[in-house]
Amino acid sequence: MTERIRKLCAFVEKYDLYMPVVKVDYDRSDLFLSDLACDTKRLCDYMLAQDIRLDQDVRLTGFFRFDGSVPADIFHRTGHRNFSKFSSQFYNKPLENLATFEWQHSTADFRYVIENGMEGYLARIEASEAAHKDDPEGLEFLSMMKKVVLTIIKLAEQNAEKCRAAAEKEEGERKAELLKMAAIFDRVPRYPARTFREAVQSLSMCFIFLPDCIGTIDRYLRPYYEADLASGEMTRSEAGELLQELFIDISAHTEHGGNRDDFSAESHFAIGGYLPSGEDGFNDLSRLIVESLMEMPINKPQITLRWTKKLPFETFRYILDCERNDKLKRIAFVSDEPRIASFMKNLGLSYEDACNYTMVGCNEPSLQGGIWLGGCTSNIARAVTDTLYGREDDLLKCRNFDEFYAVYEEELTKVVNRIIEISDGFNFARSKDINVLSSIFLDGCIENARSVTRGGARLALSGTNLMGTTATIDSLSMVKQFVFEDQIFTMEELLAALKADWKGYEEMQTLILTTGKFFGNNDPLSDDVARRFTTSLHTLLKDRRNLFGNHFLCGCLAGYNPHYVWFGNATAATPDGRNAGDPFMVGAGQSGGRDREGLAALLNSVAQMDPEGILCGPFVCNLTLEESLVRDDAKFEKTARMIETYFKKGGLHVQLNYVSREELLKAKADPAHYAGIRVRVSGFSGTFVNLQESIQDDVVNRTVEA
Amino acid sequence: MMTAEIFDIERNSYVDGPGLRTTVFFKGCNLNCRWCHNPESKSRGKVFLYYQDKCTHCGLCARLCPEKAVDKTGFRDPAKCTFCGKCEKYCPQRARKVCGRQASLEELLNVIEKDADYYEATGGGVTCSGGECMLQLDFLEEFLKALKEKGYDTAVDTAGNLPFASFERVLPYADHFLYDVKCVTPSLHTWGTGVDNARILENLKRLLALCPEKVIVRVPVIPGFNAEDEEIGRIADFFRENGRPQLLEALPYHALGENKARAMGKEPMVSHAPSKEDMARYQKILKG
Repeated sequence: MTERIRKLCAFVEKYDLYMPVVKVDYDRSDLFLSDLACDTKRLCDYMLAQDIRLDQDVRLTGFFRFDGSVPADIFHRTGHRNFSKFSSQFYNKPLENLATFEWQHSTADFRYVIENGMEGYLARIEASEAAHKDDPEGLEFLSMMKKVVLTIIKLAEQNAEKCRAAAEKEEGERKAELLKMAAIFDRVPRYPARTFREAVQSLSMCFIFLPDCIGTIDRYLRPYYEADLASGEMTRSEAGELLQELFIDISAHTEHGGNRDDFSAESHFAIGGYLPSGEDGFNDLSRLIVESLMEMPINKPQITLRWTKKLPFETFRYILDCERNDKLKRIAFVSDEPRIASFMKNLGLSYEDACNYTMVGCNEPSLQGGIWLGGCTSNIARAVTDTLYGREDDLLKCRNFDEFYAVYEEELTKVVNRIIEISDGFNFARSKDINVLSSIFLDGCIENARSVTRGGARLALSGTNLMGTTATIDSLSMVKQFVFEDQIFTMEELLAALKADWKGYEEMQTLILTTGKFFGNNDPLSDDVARRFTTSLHTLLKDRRNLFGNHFLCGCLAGYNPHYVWFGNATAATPDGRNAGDPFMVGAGQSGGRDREGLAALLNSVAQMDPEGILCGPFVCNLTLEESLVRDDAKFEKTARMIETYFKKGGLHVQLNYVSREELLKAKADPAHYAGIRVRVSGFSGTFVNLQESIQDDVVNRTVEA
Repeated sequence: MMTAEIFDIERNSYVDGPGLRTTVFFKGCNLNCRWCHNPESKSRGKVFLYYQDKCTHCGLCARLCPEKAVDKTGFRDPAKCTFCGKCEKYCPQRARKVCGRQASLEELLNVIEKDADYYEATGGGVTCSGGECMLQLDFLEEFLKALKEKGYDTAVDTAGNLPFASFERVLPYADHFLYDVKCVTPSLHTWGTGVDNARILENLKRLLALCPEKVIVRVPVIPGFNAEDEEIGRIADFFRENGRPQLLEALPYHALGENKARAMGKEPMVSHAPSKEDMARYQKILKG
């Protein structure tokens, strides 16, 4: 790491890299315009009024934040009036203990920005205007997009002038550097980038127009990287330094000292994975990205390695080795194999589109230039409780598990239908706002002349995160095992125990907890139930579309919010031995000591639970390993091979924790002395002592695989 | 159908040979080690373990026992008990355990197959342990043969107190011998294990001459028995004179067997784990 980057890291640790917002006194007469025209004019006025950073020896600049006075990017949604109203009603406020509104994520098509520049967008907008000549609403939207694109061009010109003005006051190397920066702004983002540095500057500046995820940078920056190395324009270490500055810039976008500053998911992207050619995409730039990030003491961005069957074990081992040595816990792993197959089968994507995904936010898949329009987290265990507490008469007639499951499936159908209705309601409410700025960068919005909030994006994935997935599988399994197969107690007794919240039935509850064939033990009973459940979900969802016509995929991610606790708190006792009000477990990996057969069994269960790939949305599998399995070199070798095998067998995601339980308990009791412990939570990492207590408890209680 | 008498199958073993392994524990042993960490494995036939400290006297076992062999306090009448295992299966506290059952070749192969991908990935396989697995030689030979036919890596964990002819029968199908050397001094060995070690060491010499690459020697370090520099030094001398195995490692005593012995109604030899520093020194002595 160079001295310049070291200083920049030290600076961002204490101060905000982004310049203070310049408040704009908007022209009153803007209100004479249509709402859209007024918003767009003010957006442009705001952008042109902002300061950019030129001190601290920066080489990349041009970034600023929006202050909420105008509708800006689609990620933060600042200034989107209806969204704010709606969010205050539904964010973290579930309806019917069934579904709650959550954030969406998206990834701008930065490849297009870099390769074609704003001029490319202008040409596309003009072509679309011709195609929508009979659509006044579409034409107005397109003309607003054009205004914003022209403003971005003007902004770059302003940036160039600011660099030249700053150069006037400097001497020597810094003067030359500022003049070089000015020359770069003369070129990008208006025109296609020609060099790696121009490409990175273009990316750094345009990131703020959709500051969510930079996407597959080891693909779209690769041609510039390789050409510049070959021509001698730049060395590998210079490229690394530039990447480090880029990482600082994008991670600094999260407000310094704010409540999300500690979370790695604020700027998450993926490396590696299948290329459209069918080859594995991990390359020297991917490696440089990892090397550059590992050198830096900043907790963001987070990287996910996309594993493929063609990835050499040595490369996988290298990244896993980086992960085990990374105290900031910035690396996670996903497999391309089930996800790409699911994207093609369940979403109807072409192979080329399907392999162009990245990971964004905590652990959401999003296509480059597309959106993960999840935005709905739901309580799937409702179908279990609706069955057991609402269908007593039918259940008492069931002679076998198949008959029981048929009743359950009826309730599951109702629950899934209602989740879709609520999710559509959320999306309808979102569509009351029009977003111009980010829509430019999302594939299809120009061609459809429609805001991303109104279904303009071509590459939109829709779905829901299911809380209570494991509770569902385990509850169904316990019914099968104890009531129907082993006949240890009757359905009547079980229903009575549940209604009593196990009071007076403690023996039955303990019996279940200690001898139940829970998911994660590679037991045929619960593994079959898991597959039956995911297959039912797939059957219910495969022909459904949301109000924009997008297919559904599910996941089991909780994100920053402990939905699994909140939904659990409002859910009655379940046959898996859970008391009313107890939290659900998060993710697909087991916890709480119920996976007794060890790591291989757990991995086998998880890898084989979803043959239809319906859970290939934001799926999370947490593994908590006994520390020596990772720290001891010989054992680490075996662990690495085991995780690779899990992926080969169909596993989708894995993230690792290996701080001892004792250490975490000490940290909980004495936060001041353990402030440095970072843990993987639900797709993201955070400082343990700063997490909500319910999340801390979940991390502590996960089973340690030894 | 051929069956073996076993008392456990452990998947996910990181320590019983190379890679990730499934370990099958055979029942019956012809040593009687004072510190044995699997005391339930010594005898043939079923053994009942009752962990009094875990039992809450909930009475579930009494309710479920088809033979009425258990009373509400958890007491088991050995005359009535048929070792059906129902009380174990549903004991909420895991305070009851029946050790020992027959397992067919087919059953074992089915369990083993579940983790086959992990063996392949980690260079692991299957370990036959015990007890003394070589005492069930007919089954063991067939089992190892079947494993090799399926391409699995195989290991035989043995104390070596058998005729060498037994080794000759499994040699073609065993990739590794995990060979326990507890001590070299004969009188000490007899005191600790109940048997003389002449045959054990002679077999080891012959194995080292025949196939040193297959031999992994493990020295359990037991304070109160062999945890002395002199005795460990004698073990090191043995290998200096008779050839080096593929791996020679010292394993620290652990107390797992103590509770199990008590659960069987026996008083165990109580020892303690050697310190890390001591273990490092013993390992160094062994390395010569």
